[in-house]
Amino acid sequence: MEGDKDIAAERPTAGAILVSFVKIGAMLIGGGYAMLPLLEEEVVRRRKWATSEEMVDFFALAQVLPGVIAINTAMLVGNRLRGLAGNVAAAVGLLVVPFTLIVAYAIAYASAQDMPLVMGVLEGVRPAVAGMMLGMGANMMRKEARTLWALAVAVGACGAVLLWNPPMAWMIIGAIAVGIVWNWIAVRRVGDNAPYQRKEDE
Amino acid sequence: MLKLLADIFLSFFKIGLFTLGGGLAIISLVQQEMVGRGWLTNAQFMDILGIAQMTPGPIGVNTATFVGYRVAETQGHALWAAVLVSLFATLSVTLPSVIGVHFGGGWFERHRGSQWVRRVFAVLRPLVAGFVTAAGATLALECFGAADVYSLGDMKFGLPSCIVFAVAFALVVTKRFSPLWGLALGAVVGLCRVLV
Repeated sequence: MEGDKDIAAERPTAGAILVSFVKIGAMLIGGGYAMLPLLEEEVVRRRKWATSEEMVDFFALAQVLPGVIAINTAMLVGNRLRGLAGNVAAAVGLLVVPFTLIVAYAIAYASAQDMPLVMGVLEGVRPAVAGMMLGMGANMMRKEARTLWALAVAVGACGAVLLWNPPMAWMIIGAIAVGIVWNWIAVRRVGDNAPYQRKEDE
Repeated sequence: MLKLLADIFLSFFKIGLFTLGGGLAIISLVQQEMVGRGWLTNAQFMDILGIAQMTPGPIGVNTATFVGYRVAETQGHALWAAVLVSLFATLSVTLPSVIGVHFGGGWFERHRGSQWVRRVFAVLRPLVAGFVTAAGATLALECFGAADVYSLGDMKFGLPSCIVFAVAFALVVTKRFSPLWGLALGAVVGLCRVLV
């Protein structure tokens, strides 16, 4: 592990991963999207388990794996830290609060049909979730859309989703194809395997 | 009981497996499975959508938890048994993700240094940045009363909502304080609306 800067110096235990994700899981009930900025806050800023570039990678990967994107992203973090144990710890941690709440709702279902307080809170939290998501989008744009090409991809993706809402998984698959073709052309033209460098790496 | 568990496992494993890319695409499959099997009526399904109305993704998970409990309860099982069945359903819907992340994530960790993976992710990153911005914009339009981009003109701006929105945005962009404060503010505003 020495010298491998990509992996956190001290790998957290599966227990620590679980505890960290219980808190974030509480937000699953307020919308899967709400979880992403909080995930970034906990995993990148507080625990330093991953960089925000890696979070973007995980987020991209999460979209082509089966399951809910927000949960997949968290599980990829756990998986990276502790393998299968971390993966399961992240999943269990995330699901504790939503599970408890929904079971409580199921038990109360027969007697209490609607819960104005809960609905009021959900309604009130909505603009906060929207603000958080747009803030996160702005942060990512600032960081990722640095070249003209990247900006075109980012703006194109944003516009396409807003105007036509095409399936994101297909757009991801298309982007993967573009990346592969780009690499193929680059390798053929340069004729060697000079590794591609991100802007910041240079 | 065994038959019930097998049915629940198959049904929710399938839902978990086909929840690709999140979003609302999965709702019709969940509805088809639940109503088709007679586990939920359409009205009950709408109720679950209501409780999970702001959750585009975990609708499958929430439905699994709820349906697991309800089905066991209506078959006359005790409360603890129903909670266990509910847990079982929740795990069934999560299992495809655990497997997918285990293999997909493992593959990524092994290959992320290779140049073609780096190029692919150089394309994916700005794409995802666009997705997140679009998701934020869609949510913003929704909570200010516009159904989509085409109905921008119908937006109504309530002052409290605008403040909550701006605070949450600023918290995330400045990265000085936890975005949880924005959610807390929103929750307080929501409570005040109900109580006052």
